[in-house]
Amino acid sequence: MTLPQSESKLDRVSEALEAKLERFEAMVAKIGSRHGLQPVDRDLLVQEVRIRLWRSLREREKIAGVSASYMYRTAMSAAVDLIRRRRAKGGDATISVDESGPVPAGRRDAADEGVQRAELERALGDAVDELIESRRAVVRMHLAGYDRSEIASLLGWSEAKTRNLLYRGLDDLRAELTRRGMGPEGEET
Amino acid sequence: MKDEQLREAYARIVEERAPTDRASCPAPEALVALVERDGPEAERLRTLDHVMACASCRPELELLRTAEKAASPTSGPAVPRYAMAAGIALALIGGTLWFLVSPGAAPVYRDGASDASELVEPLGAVASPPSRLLWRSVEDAVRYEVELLESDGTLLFRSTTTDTVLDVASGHEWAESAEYRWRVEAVLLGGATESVGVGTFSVGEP
Repeated sequence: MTLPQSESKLDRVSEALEAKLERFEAMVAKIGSRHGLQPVDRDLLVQEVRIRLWRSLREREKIAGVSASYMYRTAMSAAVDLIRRRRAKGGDATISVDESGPVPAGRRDAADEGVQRAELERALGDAVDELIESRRAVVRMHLAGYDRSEIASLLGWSEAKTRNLLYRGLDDLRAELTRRGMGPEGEET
Repeated sequence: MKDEQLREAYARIVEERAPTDRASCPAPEALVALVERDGPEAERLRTLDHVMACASCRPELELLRTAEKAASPTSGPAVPRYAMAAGIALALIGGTLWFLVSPGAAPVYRDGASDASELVEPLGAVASPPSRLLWRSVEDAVRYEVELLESDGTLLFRSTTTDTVLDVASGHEWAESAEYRWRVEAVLLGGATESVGVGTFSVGEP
């Protein structure tokens, strides 16, 4: 009977595929969680890579022999295609990240607190926009919650260069906020 | 102004400024270039500047960063076994020799041992100046603390990263045949530390 044979072959290919994906899936779960990626988006990425490997290779030996660089290219192109599809759909929120903020304006807040909040947001937005380019992106990353090592890693900078540009940028930012009436108070950055 | 206040305000700004269409957003290829640190720095900074101010682009960057790190051969046990074995052997030999001849005190680790089991490169004699330090990931590590020292124990730099690779400044001048020592320590969830390894290398002919 041919059916059991093909089923058996299919099983072996599936096993090879899942074995190859096991580490990747675990890493996506671990790293994606750390990066605030939603579980559904992590699953989408793994599924996209699974489909690509299956379509391209279809044989146990080929799947088992996939090199690290092939896996890397497959994962990156799968991520890019997910992004393209999302954009083509008009930007529906299939990819999202867990944010520590923003903190919604509490209903208990007094009206004047809401006004102060709005003033701070306006001043902060304008002050960041006015930073010089080399410091602005770094300050934005800091404000978005990234730590120095992540900034250095993404930009390929040394720790010293990152620290230097970040602190200069934050100094500029605070000076600009002070100039706009949002004076220093509380602890320093 | 507290950092936390600024971050909360910034998060609200980004949310409120979310683009209604994506015409002004960088192409996915620009995001890939950013993640892979490919292309002129000025361009990557412009892309990053947009991404960090765009509620739509930032999740896309995180998707790419996740894909990049998850598929990277340095992020898990997918490093070829022969490379790992060679790395372990070189690191062990180099590390052992170093600590036998080193005049300084050996570093003390949590378990009191100096093991070099997870360092990948550079190790031993390398022909050209290293552009990066590379090691294998440690389960539950949240960041790595890396030190590069000269043979007399002088600290060249200390850095912290969440990655398993650390770029070395291209402008650094390496002394020919001099021996360098580097060590990596993983900081685990909960704050405990674990030695990733200690290795030595020299640039040029030994």
